[in-house]
Amino acid sequence: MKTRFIILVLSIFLSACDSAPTKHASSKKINQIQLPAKKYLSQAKIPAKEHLKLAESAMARVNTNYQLADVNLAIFHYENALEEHQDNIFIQQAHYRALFVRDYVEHGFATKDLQQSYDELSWLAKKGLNPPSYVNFITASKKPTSLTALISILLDVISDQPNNANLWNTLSELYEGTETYWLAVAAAKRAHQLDTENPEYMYQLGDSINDIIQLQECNFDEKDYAISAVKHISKAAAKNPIQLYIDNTGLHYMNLGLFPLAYQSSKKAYDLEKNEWTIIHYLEASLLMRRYDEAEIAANDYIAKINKEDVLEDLAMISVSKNQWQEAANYMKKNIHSSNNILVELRTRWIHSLAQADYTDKDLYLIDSKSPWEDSVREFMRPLKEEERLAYESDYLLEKAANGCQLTEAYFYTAYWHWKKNNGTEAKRFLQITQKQTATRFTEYMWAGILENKL
Amino acid sequence: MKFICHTLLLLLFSIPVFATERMAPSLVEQAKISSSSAGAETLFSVHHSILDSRGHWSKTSYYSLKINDINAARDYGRISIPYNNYYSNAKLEFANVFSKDGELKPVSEDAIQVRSVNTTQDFYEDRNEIIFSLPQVEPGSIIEFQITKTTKVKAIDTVLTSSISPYWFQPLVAKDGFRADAVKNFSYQLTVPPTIEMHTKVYGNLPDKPKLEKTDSQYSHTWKWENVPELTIEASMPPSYEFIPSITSSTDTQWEKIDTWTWNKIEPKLVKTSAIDGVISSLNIAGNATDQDKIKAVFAYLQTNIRYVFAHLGRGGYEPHFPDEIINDKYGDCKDQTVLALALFKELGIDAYPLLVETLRQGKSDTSLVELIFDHMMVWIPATKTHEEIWMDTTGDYGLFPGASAYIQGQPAMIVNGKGGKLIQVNMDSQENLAHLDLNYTVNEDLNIIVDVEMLYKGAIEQNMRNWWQHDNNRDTTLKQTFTMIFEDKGQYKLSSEVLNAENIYEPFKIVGQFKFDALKNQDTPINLGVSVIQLIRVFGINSGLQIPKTRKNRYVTALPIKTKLTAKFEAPKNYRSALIQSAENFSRPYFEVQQKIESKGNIFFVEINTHQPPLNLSSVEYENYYNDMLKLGDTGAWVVNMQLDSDKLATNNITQLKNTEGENTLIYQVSLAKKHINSGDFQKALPVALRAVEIDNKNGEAWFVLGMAQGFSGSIEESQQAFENAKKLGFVP
Repeated sequence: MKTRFIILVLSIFLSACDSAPTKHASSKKINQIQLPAKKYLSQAKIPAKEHLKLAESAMARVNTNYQLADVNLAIFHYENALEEHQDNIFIQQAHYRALFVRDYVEHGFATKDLQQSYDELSWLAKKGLNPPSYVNFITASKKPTSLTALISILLDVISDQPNNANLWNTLSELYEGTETYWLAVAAAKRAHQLDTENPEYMYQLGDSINDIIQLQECNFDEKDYAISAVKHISKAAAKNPIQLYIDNTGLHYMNLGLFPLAYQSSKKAYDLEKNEWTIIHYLEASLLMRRYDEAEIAANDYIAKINKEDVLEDLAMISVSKNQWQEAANYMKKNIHSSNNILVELRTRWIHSLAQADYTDKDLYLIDSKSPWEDSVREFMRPLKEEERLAYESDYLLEKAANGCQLTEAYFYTAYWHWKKNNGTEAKRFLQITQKQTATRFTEYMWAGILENKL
Repeated sequence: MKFICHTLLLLLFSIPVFATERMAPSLVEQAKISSSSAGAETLFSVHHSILDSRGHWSKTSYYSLKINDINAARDYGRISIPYNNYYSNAKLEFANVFSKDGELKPVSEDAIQVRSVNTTQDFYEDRNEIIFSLPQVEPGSIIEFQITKTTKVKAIDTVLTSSISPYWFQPLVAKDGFRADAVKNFSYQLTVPPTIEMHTKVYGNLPDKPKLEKTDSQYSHTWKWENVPELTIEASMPPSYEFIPSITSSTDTQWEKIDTWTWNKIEPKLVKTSAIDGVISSLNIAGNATDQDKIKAVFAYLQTNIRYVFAHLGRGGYEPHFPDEIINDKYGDCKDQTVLALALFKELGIDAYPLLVETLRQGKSDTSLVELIFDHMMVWIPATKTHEEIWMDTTGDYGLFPGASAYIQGQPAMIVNGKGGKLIQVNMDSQENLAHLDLNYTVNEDLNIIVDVEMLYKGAIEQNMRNWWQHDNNRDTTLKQTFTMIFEDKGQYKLSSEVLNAENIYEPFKIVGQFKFDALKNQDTPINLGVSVIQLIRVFGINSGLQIPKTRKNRYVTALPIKTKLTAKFEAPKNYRSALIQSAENFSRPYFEVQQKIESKGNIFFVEINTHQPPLNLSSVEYENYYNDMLKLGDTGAWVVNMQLDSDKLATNNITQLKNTEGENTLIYQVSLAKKHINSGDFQKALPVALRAVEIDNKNGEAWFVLGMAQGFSGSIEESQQAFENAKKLGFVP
């Protein structure tokens, strides 16, 4: 007995998710079925493997040409292959898919034949397939149909095949399109339950939860939801490390104040692909990790690829980190030109003061306020007569803040308030408190980290 | 093979009446002959056998070989001439080498030895060999030697035989076979007295008519052949007479004399003695015992009490001992054990006979001329109303009753009865050579896949396996390797194994074991389990190590039909569903067949794979097809069964359990039921249930979330938004 090895067929079963046809037939011309010539048929029996090859190559052509003749040819060969391999689930599924495509191309709706073929499949074969009613969905999706109508059709399809994860995921995407984010979450959750290993479904669930977060006034206050979102997105990134998943993982870690993890993911995404989002997230994560040299590289990348205006204040922060105050003041001056905003005006004034650079303050009351909160900030920081100034306590803004985002800003501008009153110690203390707040990606939060060491 | 009883065949009987002369041209002359054969070539193979009126032989043979390459030089470095010194004398007349430089050198006296041959354990016999080594054996040289063997004692008086082939069979230096180089000139002269009639048969497609010379005192027949091609000796060849040219002569064509000769050696020893009575008494045979009970009792007695020892120094090897000697010594060879068994059977009233057998080791002879072809003896018991015929052999190591080797199937044999005997071919109809692998797949509560294995054997395969276990010093390692042919060992399982019935002569040898695979990650992990014919072929080593077709020179012949069988049971655990996802194909060829099928019963699948290889006799073209087809066996595919947690069934069970344990009007039941409806796509059905859940506890975030789902998927989007907001406010996190 000599030693040889046999491979155990013992593996994780990954059900093949159906991918719906994405292209409609480019031509209305539908060829008649072209079966193999008689001569061919009269030859010796073709082995099942050969039938399969021919069927697969016909279906490969269908993916590009959508010719009915090729679909019928594929069906012919699959049926022959099935004669020898009736129990082979993969051939059964492939045969059904070909019938499915035929109904889609030829009729645009599911025929009785397709339904019968589907009904004859085992539970396992069905699990990886779209039901016949999915033909109706695809047909509708290729016509001008509202998302709401598509959702209604898809819900019927799901009723026919509720264990198909792909259908639930598609439903989630459609709900996302109609901005019914809670239902997007619910559908994505079911897709993930049905196929826990699929990174696409993991990401869709995390992303849908993030949509809920974005509905809130201050999304930094939604810690539990943020944790749930990042749990799914980071798992998706681990399974399928593409830029989108990794970058979003970094972003969520940043929102949660987990800066080392955020930096790691953001840099990885940035290394994979440099686009508007990956660059800005890498820039922010670098600033939060006080890796200013890397932040500068990212900022320069952004300027080269996108524009300069968006990162002027980031450049100012980087300059301050290098004690280049005049340069920082210049960046802030350019920034205020493009951004007529009360809060930006206040930060510009402070940097200029610290830089001892010339700056003509804008009248805060000539800048449009965008919210009652900005009104409060303006009120707190307006140039007061001495006696009026006394009327406000230093915790005026802190008391006005209604959420974590406003509180982050409140602490920062209170620090400025103290600095203006020549109380550097209190200013520094308030900058430190700013960094303990939740709005980690706010400019004020980032400035607090830089200025704390410069006062 | 320890059980095989050694005999002496083709003995050359004569007395040294006269000094023999050189029978071939001088080496100087032979050196002028061109030799184009690769390796080596026999330039002259010359033989003269002289029978005198007493029936004694003098047989002289001369061989000269041209050495053409280094491998041949290595192989011919030592020459051995075996003989039995009880029956014959042997003399090396001369041996020389003619070097490539033209120098003639004789063998040195200090490089010739006559010595006893070391045979296997427990063999004591009169086998000698003359061995010698010639100097300067190298490419370009010619070696020659001449030997004479003469009869000392005749083994059998009544039959005279002689056989010769042109070849000198030289063992390869690696001791893994023989070489038989091409022969340029062959000559054989048979000289007999006119009073003795010899029948002669020539095998092979060579001239069979001899030149006849007659005088008053002797008749001489001479055959001369030229350019006899090289013979390649391979495994699984046809009987030698079908492919080795040779000339055989015998005084007889009928086998009665062999029956008489054998019977006369045995029958007088089958007498009742007190020792025989003692043995019978010790068998404790019940009064109502059947014949079969008695036969089994005798078999068991011999298996456990009489060790196999061939003790024949000074006895010639054909004369069995008396039963009392055997009982007393507690050992005996095949003849001895047969005699003792027959003596016991005689006392027990069982009709039984000695059976002479030519074993496969000896080859398979043509029986048209009578020769002493048999090298083994056992017991043949004719069929009666209560049992089939029994082929009993007690010489094996704890062989399974009745002990006959499956490899004697189809071999020449003779039932000896003192009445002329009966020449037969062994036909043990009931012998099936089967290896059966049984796999039982289950999943335990800790999510380990468990595969219980049984390997069961019958016939020749059972004997091989039992023999392997009894004689392999490294058997535990080999056993483990056997299991790794079922599932490759990547460290993913723990294996336990055990051998059963290795010493039990009534139950087939059996191997059992269990694979315990690492636990699955979780219940949701689907499982694919498979079996294929390749597992079967590899675990039993069927057709492993087949010779590659391009090197095959001879017909490929196997004597035994071989069957293998794989049965597998796939049993899904509780709450799992199983489905067949891939099936395998049948495979049918004239020389190998695979039949496969699957059946299911509920959630259990049963696979059965059967292979059958009939006895083969293939031409080189057929062998190539056979070889290539064996390589394609993997293409027959595998049976793959998928098992997955049946989430619908599990959910239904859980819901029912909740209803029973928690009650219908509870939050947990209503929420679970609503979720089940949603998961099943029954959104409308879910709605009232979810509403009921919120009614029961409107401070429960999950209840509101489920209500939001039921509402939203039913089309009530605005209501659902409110429900979701409520869920969030109550701390629900999706």
